[in-house]
Amino acid sequence: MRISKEIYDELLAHAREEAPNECCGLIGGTDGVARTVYRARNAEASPLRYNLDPNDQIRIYGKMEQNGEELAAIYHSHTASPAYPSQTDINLALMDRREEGKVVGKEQIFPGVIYLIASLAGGEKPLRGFEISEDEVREIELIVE
Amino acid sequence: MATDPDALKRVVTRTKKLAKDYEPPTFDEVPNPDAALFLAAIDHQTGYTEPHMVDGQGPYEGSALLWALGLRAERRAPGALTARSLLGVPAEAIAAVFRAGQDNLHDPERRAKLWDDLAKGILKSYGGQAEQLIEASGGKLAGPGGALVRLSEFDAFADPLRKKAFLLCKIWERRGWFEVSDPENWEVSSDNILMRLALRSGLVPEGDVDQVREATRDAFKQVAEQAKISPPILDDLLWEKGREDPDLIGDEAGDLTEPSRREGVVFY
Repeated sequence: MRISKEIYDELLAHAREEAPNECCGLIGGTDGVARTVYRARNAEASPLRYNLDPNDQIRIYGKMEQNGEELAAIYHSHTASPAYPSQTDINLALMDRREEGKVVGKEQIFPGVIYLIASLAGGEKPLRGFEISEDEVREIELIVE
Repeated sequence: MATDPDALKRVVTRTKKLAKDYEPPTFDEVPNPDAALFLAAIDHQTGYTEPHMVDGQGPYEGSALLWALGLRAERRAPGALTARSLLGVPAEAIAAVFRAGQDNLHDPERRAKLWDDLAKGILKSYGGQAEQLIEASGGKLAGPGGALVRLSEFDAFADPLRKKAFLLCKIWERRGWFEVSDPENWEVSSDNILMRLALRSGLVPEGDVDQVREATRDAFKQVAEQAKISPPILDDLLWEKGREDPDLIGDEAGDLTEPSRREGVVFY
């Protein structure tokens, strides 16, 4: 995924501003390129988990619509742990897959959307991207330009 | 407009047969009373041009597609379909949430106004929760203080024939959120699919849209009574099977179709 240095800096700045709580938001993009950061409130207001405020989320969809963008990524921060999805993050990214009313597995809530995690814990990579599915958490290369 | 007695007999006989092995939907996919309230409020004239898959399920079209996309939004943002979230929601957000590929939901601006009016009213009178409206109705569907009257105070549910309100109460009841104490007041939701079935079977004569809607509602109430099927179950049966087969309950009146909607009507 290609992101500008400006967006990279913006995500880490948001993480620092919200600390000790986790920050979160959405990124609109076109053709696989991240274009705009849309900050959202963390409805949990927690240092341990995030939950995009539904009110913000639905309005952000409208702004993306106006800007001709699609949802490209969802971001949040880890204030004291590395930039890697926790089990809570994985659970948030998946939902039950049902067939004829029965739960038969898990599927992505946002197919094709990248999860970005900004860490303030001082690791080598403060911002990393992942694709989260039932079978795996796969790191996505971030190209900062 | 009177119901044709011969047609009524025929339709009752056919309906009984259709109802034998019929399992009505459980609406398990609807997660809470608020989601049902806000989706029913904008369930009219969707304008979608073709069927679409949503999250690997479907294909859905028309009203079913609107519900599938709305419920996807609620899964993605739990709490999105609540009064607090939808107060003042912009039309662009509605357009984005309800877009299926290149297929756009008709008139998101009007729907934004309906949601805003509903959100204001639910916040003002019911603490922002559909559950409180259900509680306030005391189990009554009709009459003073009943759910239908309470809903009719909002623009989205102001339809004199209460198509959306009956649809909503049906879902609330089926999900176990609303225990109806006056089931004799159930009626079918008189929409385009039911009007088409009623016209083609000869159950109701042709007329303008208001006449045909009212006659359809009254005729199917009689069918429900005589076939001993609850109107909400009959409503589901006719809507599900009649979408694909306009001659489901007969074609004696010929190749008729429902009258056109009047411009700007947001009831069905």
